[in-house]
Amino acid sequence: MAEGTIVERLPASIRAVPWSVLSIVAMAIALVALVSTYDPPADAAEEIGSLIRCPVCQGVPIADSPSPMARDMMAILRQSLDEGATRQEAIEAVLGAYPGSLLLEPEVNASTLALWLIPVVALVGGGGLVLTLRRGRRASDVVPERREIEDRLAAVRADLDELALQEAAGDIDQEAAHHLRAAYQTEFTEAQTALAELQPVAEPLARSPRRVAIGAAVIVVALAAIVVAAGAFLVDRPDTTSGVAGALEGDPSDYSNETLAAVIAANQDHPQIDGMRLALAERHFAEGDYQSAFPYSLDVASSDLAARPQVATALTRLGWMADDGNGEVDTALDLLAQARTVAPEDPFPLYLEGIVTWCGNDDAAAAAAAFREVLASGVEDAEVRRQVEGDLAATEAGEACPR
Amino acid sequence: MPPVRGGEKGISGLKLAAWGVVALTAVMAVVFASRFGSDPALSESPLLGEPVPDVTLSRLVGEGEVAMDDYRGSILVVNFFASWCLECRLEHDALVAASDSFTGAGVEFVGVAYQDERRDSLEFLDELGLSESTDYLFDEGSRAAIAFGVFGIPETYFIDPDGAVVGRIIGPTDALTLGSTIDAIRRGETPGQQRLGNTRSSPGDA
Repeated sequence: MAEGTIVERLPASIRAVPWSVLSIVAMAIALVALVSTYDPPADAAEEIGSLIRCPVCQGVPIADSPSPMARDMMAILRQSLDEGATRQEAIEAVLGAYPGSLLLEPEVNASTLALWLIPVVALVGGGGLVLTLRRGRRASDVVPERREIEDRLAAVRADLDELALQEAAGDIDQEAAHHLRAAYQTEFTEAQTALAELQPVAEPLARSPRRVAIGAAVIVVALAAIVVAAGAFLVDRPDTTSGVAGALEGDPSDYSNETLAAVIAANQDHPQIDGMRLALAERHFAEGDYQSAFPYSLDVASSDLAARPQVATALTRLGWMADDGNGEVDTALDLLAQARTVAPEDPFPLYLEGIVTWCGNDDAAAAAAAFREVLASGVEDAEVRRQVEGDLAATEAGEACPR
Repeated sequence: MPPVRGGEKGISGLKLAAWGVVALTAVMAVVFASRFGSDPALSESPLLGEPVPDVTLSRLVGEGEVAMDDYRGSILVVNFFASWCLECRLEHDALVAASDSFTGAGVEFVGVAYQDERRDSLEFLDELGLSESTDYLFDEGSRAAIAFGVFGIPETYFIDPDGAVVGRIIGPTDALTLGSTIDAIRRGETPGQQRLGNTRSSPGDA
């Protein structure tokens, strides 16, 4: 592709216009367009509303947003101003509960510092760049001018040499030679002066560590300012995972009965909900609150999802509560028998059956038979074993139930 | 004749400036990338630790008005919902369960219908089932939503018995979070803010 084809096709009169002039014209057109399309705010509320970003829209001020939330915010803004609120109070009435970043004209603070610094850094940096380029261009302009003077000096020197030769050969008379020499020497002196004047401009154009150091320092300072501002951004970031999430990671025993009840009520079909039901039932049972323990135990006993040992435990608790809480001996024995059927390996329902038979039906012999069977099944816990053995001894001796 | 290096010097300055621009761009990229994820909607609510907003709302279910200050002395859970909000459907059972479970335990639940028609809110509650222990209120003109700093719903605020806002959940909550947050407030802790999922700002918000 030919270089600069489009530009070269332009008429010479347009090509002659400097880019700087074109830039200024373009900026002027943009400015005129901005001014002509500017719609001044109708009132103070509109003016303030144009500075508040609508929280439910994408970067639109509430004064311009059609969303109901923005409309409601504008209504509150107007009402505040009508009631005599200052500008700041009116903003507070709308944004008091929102983070400050909803203001389209952010305040200057640690987290907005970069926002305010960037244009200044860009302006200084851009200005520096333009100056550097201009100096560079001026330096390259000097080169042909210097060459021209040096060419002139060389030419004058050659003319003087030739004149000397002509004088020596007697080809020129003394007076003419004198005039010519005077003219050549004046020209030579002028050219030398011109060259000397060029020197101070040309000199700094050579390698200058000072300029490099200054440029590097400016960039380092600008970067440092931005890094500090970036640090403020990072420090300002809210920790959205603290607090409530921490509570969730705590010990489950920290949860209140109400919390467990809420979780159970909201997750009736969860495959593991019966474990939680049983845990809550156990808590109420331990507190002697049979009324609260009963529905959870019943739910587990009749659950299709509960594991076999869970159902047996629930039936055992229900049996015990039927006897101890309501004195319903037959119901209790029925429930305990069901528990034994569900979990034949668990000796606990049989032990309770013995207790209920002994205490509810006053049948020490039947109770003793049950206790013997419990001990024969192998009770590992020494303390429980001692208790069963004690009860067996008492029933074998024909003692009445101690309850 | 000594070489004049003015032209070369100009290119060197330009190179320096170009590297400066590259470095600046890189740093700016880091700065702005670090802002991703710090959506103002997720910034910590300035309301945390402050008194509950002084707003009075009319009842959605039943007659009369209720002020937030009327609940002083109890832990108050304020949930913003709407019939058009899908996430509100997801958390509804948890709110009903928690409200019913904490009945009589010094905890009150308030449901505030946000940017909704009364009729639609009532249909929503009819369909999903309302909690007898919850006060359902209607937010006329978004007064409560603006006073609480709501960005999108569902949002749930927790107020301690002294009337200070101590917790905020953004997005659909669940029973364990509701219960454990209340448990934490009972222990005198300040649960703070957390996000549990998506929110919606308006009926057309996908």
